[in-house]
Amino acid sequence: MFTRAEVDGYLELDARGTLPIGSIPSAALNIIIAIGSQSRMLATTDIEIAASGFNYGRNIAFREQLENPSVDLIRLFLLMTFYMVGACRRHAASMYIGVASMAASTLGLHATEQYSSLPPEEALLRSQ
Amino acid sequence: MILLLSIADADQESRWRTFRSLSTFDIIHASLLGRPCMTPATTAGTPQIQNEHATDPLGTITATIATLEICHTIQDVLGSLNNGNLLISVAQRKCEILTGYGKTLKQKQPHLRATQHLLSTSTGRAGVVGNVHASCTYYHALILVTRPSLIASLTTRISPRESPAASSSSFVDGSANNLSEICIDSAIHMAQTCYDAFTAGILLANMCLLKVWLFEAGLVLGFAMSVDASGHSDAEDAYRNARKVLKTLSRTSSLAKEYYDILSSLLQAINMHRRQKAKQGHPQSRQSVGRLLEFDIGRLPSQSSSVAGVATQLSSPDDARYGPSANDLHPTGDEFDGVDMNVGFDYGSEEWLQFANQVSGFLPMNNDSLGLFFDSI
Repeated sequence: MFTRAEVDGYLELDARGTLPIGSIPSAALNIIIAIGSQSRMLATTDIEIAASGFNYGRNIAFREQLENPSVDLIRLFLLMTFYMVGACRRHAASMYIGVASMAASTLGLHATEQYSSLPPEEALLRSQ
Repeated sequence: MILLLSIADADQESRWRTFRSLSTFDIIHASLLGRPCMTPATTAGTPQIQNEHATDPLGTITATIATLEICHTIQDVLGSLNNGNLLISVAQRKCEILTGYGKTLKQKQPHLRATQHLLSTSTGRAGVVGNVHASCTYYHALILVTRPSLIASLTTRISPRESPAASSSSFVDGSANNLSEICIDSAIHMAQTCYDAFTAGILLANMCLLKVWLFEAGLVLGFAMSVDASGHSDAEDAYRNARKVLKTLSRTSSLAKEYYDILSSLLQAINMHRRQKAKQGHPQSRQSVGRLLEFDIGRLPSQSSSVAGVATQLSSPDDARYGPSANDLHPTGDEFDGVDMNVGFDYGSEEWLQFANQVSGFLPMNNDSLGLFFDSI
C-alpha cells in the first residue's frame, strides 16, 4: 500500500517537525506505528503506543475528511481496517473497509483502463 | 468520465497500489467471515505497472500481484460459497486454474525458497513473510472451493446409507473425492508453511491473518482425521504444528487462544472417537497440490540453545519476531495425545455429542456459518 520511500519521507518530515499536524499523512504515520506496536507487543508500552496512535489517526480520519474522498483517505481507512483486524474487532474492520471500498468506487480506482501505460510521446499526443 | 491521460505515472502507480491492497484485503477478509466483498471488480483485468518491477529485487511485488490474482478467483466464487451452492464442476474448474497458476508461479518465481541467507536481512525476512501470506492465500482459495466436497465426502463416509450425496454422479466418478483430497493437502501445506515460518523465527507477535488461516487448516485436518480413523501421519503432523503456532500467538491474542483451545478440544475428541471406533484406514499420498514456498534453512543455530529468548527478550523492533520456544521445538508425546487438556470433559456422554455437532458446524457447506462462528467469539 505504501512504499518504503513514502514512509521514510513521512518519518523525515515528522523528525523535522514539518509534517502538518492533523493532516492525513500524519494520521497514516501514527496508525502505521500503531500497527507496528500492535504486531510487536513486547511490553505494555506497546499497547499504549498502539492505542494512542490509532486514536489520533482515527480522529483525523473522521474530522471532515469523509466528504473529500482521496487515495490518501482510502489508505488511511485501510490501515485502520488492518489495525482493527489485529485487535480482533471484526465488525469495526468491516465498517472501515466498507468506507475505503466506497471511496475507491467513487474515485474510479477499479477502472483499470486508466492504468494502461502508454509511451510518453503517445500520451502527450493524445492529451493534446 | 475519468480523464485517463491526466493522471501522472506516479499517481497511477499509487492509485493502483492502493486499489490492489484494498481489493486483496477485502476479498480475504470477506471470504474468512462469509460476508460479501465490498470492493468492485476491476473493469479491465490486472494492469501492468512498469515502474514497480524495476524496484522489486526480492519479488515482493510479484508475490503481491500473485495474491491479487488468487483473490480474483475467490471473488468469482464468493457469492456461490456464501449461498452454499457451489457446483462441483465449478469447484473443479477453479481448482484447475489455481493449481495451474501455482505451478506457473513456482516456475517463474525463484524467490519462493526461503534460504538462510535471505532470512539474515530484514528486507529478506519481509519478502519471505510476504511469500508466506501469498502461499497461504493460495491454499486458502483451494480450501474454500474444495471444502464443500470434503464435507460431502466425509459425511458420506460416516453414514453412506443415509447420505443422498453417496449416489450422486460426482461421487461415482470420484471427482468429489479428488477435490476433498486437494482440500486436505492444501490444509497440510498451509499449516506446514506457517510452521516453517514460525521455526525460522520470522513471525511477529500478532499475525492477524495467519492465526485465522491456521485455524481454518486445523478444522479441515481435524475433521478429516476424525473420520479417517487410521490417520494420515502428515495430516497429524500439520495439525500438531498448527496448534504449536497458535499456542505461541495466543500469548498476545485472545482470538488465537480461542482457536488453540478449540483445536485442542477437537483433538481430544478425535482421540476418543478413534479409541471407540478403532477402524483401519488407508495412507494417502500428498501429491494433488504442490508446495509453493519452500524453507531451505534447516534448524537455526540459535534455536537449539536459547530459542525461548527470541520472543521475550529482544528489544529492537527489527528483532521483535516470534519463534518457537524450546518446548515448542521438542514437544512431549503427551501433547498430541491430549492427556493434559480439558480433563473435565466427558467424551462418552451427551457433552461429546454436542461438541461433535458444534465442530461439524464449523465446516459447513454454507460459508456463512463460519462467519457466525467468528461473530460468536
